[in-house]
Amino acid sequence: MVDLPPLERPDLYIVARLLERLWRVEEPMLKTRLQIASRVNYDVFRRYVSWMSDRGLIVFDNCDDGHERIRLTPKGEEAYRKLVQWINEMIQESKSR
Amino acid sequence: MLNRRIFATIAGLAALPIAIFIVTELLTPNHPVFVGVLATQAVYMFFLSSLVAAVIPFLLRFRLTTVKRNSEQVLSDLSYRLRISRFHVSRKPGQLIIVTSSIAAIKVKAKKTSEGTILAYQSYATPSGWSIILILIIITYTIPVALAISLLILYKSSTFASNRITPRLSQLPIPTLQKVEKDSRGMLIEGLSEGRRLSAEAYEAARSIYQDRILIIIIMGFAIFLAVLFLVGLYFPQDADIEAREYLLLVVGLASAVAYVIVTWRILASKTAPVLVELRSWKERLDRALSREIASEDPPYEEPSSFELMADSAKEVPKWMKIRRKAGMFRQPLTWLAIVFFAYIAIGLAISTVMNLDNEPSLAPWSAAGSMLFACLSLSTYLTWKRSQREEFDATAEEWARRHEKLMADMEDYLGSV
Repeated sequence: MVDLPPLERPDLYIVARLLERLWRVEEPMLKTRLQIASRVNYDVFRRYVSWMSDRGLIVFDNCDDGHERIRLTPKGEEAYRKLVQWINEMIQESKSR
Repeated sequence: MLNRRIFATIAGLAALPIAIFIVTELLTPNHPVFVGVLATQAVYMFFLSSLVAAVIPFLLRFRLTTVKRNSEQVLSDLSYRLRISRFHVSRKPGQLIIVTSSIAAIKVKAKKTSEGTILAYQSYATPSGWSIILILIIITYTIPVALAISLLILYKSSTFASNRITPRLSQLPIPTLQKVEKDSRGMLIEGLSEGRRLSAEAYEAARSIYQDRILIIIIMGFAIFLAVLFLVGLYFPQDADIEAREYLLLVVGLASAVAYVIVTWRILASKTAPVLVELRSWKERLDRALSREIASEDPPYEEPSSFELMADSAKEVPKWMKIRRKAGMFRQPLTWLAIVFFAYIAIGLAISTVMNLDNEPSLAPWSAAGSMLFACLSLSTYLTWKRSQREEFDATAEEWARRHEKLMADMEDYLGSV
């Protein structure tokens, strides 16, 4: 497999999309299904999961059935919670206007 | 269930104008000035008491219950439970405003006492509701209809209070682990619910603005009809057959008015439709996402994530607030009434000027000057109001866009640093 250049500045929306999908399933998710949910092509997807794995947001599980699965780490869960908290706080601020 | 006090209030307010009409009719002899002009004083009193009775439902406060908890906590729990049930809830210090239908809303107020928190409710209306009531009052002859709508809103508030609010107040307090650390699901529900409320209110406001403008177009169409009748009548050969003349005047006047209404309505609809479609689409998307979060369901792969939806809707907030403010003229009734009052006097004086040209030519310049003065007053009040609205909005939108951009950059920095 060809090595892809690492991401310099990842798209916030794509990272949040991947974190949210993994947070929802609560269990390791098949790589191919996560790629469909990410709505980006396979090469871009690979760069993102590699970037997230380097930061300890996700881990790869090699399962007995031979398929590779991806799981959210507690750090990834906390990162997603923080993103949601910040955007929620901004929306709630509209009440005071 | 409608309690006795509410039933008595509605019945009393509905009967008030009729009772005053009968009493005035029996006690007051017809004054010669009013005969043939305003019919009788009784009719005048009927409309006046209908107006008073139409306002009273929005001033009355009805007690709900007393709870032995902190007022802000009670309101917070109630607001959360109502939002979960997909009601539009706005929260202000010490009170909640809940939209119960397209025209009706209810205010729930909390007051701290030594016994706990006393909760009471008050009828309220949505921007569409206020628009309808004010327009009916301004038309004058339709004040009894405004009264009927006010009473309907009071009835709706009362049934909502007993069927939806009271049962929720008797539930146990929500255990607030969110107080220490809110969970992601709770925050998604909170954010989507607020986004949905803002988009839904903007959609309602945009519809209300559209309806108000249609009403203005129709009134202008009627004015054009009268103006054409008058102007064409002036220059029409006086020796022509009277029947043919009347028929032709009617056709020309009607054709001009209808052409004006159709053309301006179509222009208005073509400008408004894309805005309404966009707002409805936002409302529906947020609604679907909120329903999914409440049911803990996953969104389909082709749909944006809840986070994306919240981030994108946060960007739209200034636009939604602008639409709400545009429709909010009825929330500043004094300014609005001043504009209408000045315009009304200007039109009255303009009509007097035309009549004076024939009857009292020496008075015509004075009434024309008065008409111009009041027209200028009306226009300048409107322009001042509009300028202050625009300045306020521009400042808010600019600040909001800057904060949104900064938040997105901060989030990206945070992800880059984990």
